[in-house]
Amino acid sequence: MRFMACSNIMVKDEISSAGSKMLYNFKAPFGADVYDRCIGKGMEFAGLIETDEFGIDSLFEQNTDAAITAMLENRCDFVLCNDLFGKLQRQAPGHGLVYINPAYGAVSRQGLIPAVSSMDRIGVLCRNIDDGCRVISAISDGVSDFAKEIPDKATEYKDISQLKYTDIIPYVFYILASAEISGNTARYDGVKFGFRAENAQNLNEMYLKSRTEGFDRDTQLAIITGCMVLSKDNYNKLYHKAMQIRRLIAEHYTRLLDECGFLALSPSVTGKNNLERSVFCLLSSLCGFPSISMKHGDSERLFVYKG
Amino acid sequence: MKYEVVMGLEVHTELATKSKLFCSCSAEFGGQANENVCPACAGMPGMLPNANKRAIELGIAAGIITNSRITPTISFDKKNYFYPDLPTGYQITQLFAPICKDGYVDIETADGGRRIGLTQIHLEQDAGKLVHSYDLSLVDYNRAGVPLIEIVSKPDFRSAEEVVAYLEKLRQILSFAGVSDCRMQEGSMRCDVNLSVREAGSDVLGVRTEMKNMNSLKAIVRAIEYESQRHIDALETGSEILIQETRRWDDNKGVSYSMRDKEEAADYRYFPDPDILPIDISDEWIAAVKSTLPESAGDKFARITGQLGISEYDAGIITASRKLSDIFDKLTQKGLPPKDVVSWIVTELLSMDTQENKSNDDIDIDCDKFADLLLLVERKEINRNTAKKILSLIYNQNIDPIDYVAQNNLGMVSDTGLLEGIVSEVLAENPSSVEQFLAGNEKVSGFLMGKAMAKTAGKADPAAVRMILMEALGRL
Amino acid sequence: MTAENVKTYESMAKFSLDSDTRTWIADVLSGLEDGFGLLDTINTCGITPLITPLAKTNIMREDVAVKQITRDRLMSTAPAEYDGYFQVPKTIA
Repeated sequence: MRFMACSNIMVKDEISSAGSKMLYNFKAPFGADVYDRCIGKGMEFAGLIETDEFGIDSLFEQNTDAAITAMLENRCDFVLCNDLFGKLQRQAPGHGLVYINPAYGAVSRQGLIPAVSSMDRIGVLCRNIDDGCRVISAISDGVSDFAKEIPDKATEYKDISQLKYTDIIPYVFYILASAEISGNTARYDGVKFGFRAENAQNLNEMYLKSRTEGFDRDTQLAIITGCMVLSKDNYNKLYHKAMQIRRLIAEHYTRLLDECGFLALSPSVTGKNNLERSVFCLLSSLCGFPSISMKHGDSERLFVYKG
Repeated sequence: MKYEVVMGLEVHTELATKSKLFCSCSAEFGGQANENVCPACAGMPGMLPNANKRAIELGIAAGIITNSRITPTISFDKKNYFYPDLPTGYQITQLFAPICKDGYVDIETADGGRRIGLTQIHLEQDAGKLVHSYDLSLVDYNRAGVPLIEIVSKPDFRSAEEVVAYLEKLRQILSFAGVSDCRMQEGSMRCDVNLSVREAGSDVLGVRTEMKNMNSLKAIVRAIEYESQRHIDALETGSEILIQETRRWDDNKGVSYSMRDKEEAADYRYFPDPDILPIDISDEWIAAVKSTLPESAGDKFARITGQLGISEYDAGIITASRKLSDIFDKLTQKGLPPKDVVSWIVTELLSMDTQENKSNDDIDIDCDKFADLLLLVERKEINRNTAKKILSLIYNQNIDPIDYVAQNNLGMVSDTGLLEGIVSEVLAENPSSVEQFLAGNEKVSGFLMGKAMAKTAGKADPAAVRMILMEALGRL
Repeated sequence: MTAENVKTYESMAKFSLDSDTRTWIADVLSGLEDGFGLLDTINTCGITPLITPLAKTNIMREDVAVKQITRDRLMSTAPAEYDGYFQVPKTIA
């Protein structure tokens, strides 16, 4: 199989920029574990694909992701990605593609340029379930068999009263994600590697210029939000509270999955912004549940499993 | 008006591990700049932190020897701020569940014993080093990520003397337990002082300032004296309004400066590090650490004064320093008599280097060579004066004593026939002294003794020369 | 959320944003305020925070020093290097 990887997955001695000017010349000193495993299975590497900076989706724009385009142009059989904002899961079914997320922690994050440590995971954008399962098996230690539970296409889904917290999930997600992004991107400062702005008269100016010029707007928004939710005045009210609600959400949906085996949800719903549109993908990110986004009959489906 | 100074201490000390806290880079001191640095501790993305078990164990050991409660489940947090010596833009430290809480350390001062309470001890990463030269600053990350403990005391100090006694006690117990080398000069042990002044008898605390950058005990004492006086002057004359702030001590100028830029960015935005799972510390693990702790300074003092008959004064010197104590152990393990070893360490070795600011823990000598030297003395192959000179050469130039004695023909002259000949010569050359001796002036024997020793170039065993000389004089 | 509020967080983040970006961020954050406000509707009294979905325990490593990378390779991606050190502008203006 031929594969590509989003550029936040490091390939030794290749420029692994994670879509960021901050890393425009960053030659990775070692390769990601997933890359080595794929090569070890005899798969053929077809190159890195540009990604939204660190995999951070815009809150409002809905441009087609470069990984989707690469698949549609038939440049490879699958792409390794970190779809923590649900952008690929929203878009894949509409293009006849499948996105598979392993359970959080099932696939090594070694060599993944981090965005949200507690949600980052390497998943697979592919053409069909069989391909996806083969790849997930290759890059994880366990055999992934959750996909065998994909239901008969005729099944009807009824009881949605159990889907709690849906209004709050996008915001709990963004509070936690932005905070972790602000921490994980603090290392990009022009001192040790990557982009350094020119003509800084002193250290502080170098920091300010490099970080202001080096990140794009959506990342800066996330970092500012992260600083806000972690600041003394807001930590308890927003960050701590969001971590507590995350537990309530995880406990509720784990119970539900214990009863049902899986949930059949929508990868894309209507909403004011992309966070709200991705609500069920973000549920999977928050709780680390494995999931599959695909066309199922006439509907676009996000199947969520307990893992 | 009488004033009381109230102080609390934050002591940082690097743990004696081989590798760093969250990556496998060597934690060894020295070496070329950025030699012991990997992508992770240079702040590059993509590597996950992997906790060093030994560092956790040394944290547990620190808790045991400071009578602290060990936290059953510890976790790590990110402390966010920007500075070039901090490669990731955050320091991994412990805010929410530090490894130890509620300990204490007993100290002795001229005014008697006192108990200093500890709020907590937490584990964290050290930062790198920023070197300033003319128009640029240079960064070395060799120390970045080396494990530290920060020992936070309660505001229990009332004098600089207590602070010094506490730091010396900490250095003693931490170094004997193998937790840290506690070298202040090299920066492996650092101390920040929180200080406030209030009217004696008041139970309200004054405005508190935090002082950083004191690199020796002397600097700490000077800084405390300066800062207390600055507070008292402000209270008495109103010349200055005290504010809660961080100040940097300049030991050359003998003054402290406000570090306002540090205050500005004081919101560290701590949050739990999701990449480091909590670590459970079981009672069994604590017991295992306890069982492997080396002999404490207190136990050693009792043992060597009791079983080995070393004086309390000498034992106090030996057990105040882990380094001296180790030298003592190594030499006695080679079969040298403990009392002789103590005498050589306390009177000879300690006089080798009397530089300012050098502590006994800074003494560095090859113990095998030191032992070889003392064995030469024990076997009467060289005399004590020669040995002292050679000790200085071992200390300063690391020479091999056995080779040196052989090459310079310093072996003690103990050939009786040779010595008898020399004594006869001396008696023949100094007839008037011999007459004086025979007339009852026995002190003259010392003069004759000196003449005889001089003829052997100082290499003879003085006891043997004395015996032969007295016999010869007796025969006259 | 005003542009002035954003400035506070800019200094924490080491940004010096142009006024357009600052206004845009202030507007977006104002738009998210209602969503963030929803957190107040949930009673979380006594709930332990969930930091990571992983329920595993930490696997520690033994204290063995291993050299990972040469200094030359490490410094090869440095924006400015001097004699084996990373070089930065003077800390004071």
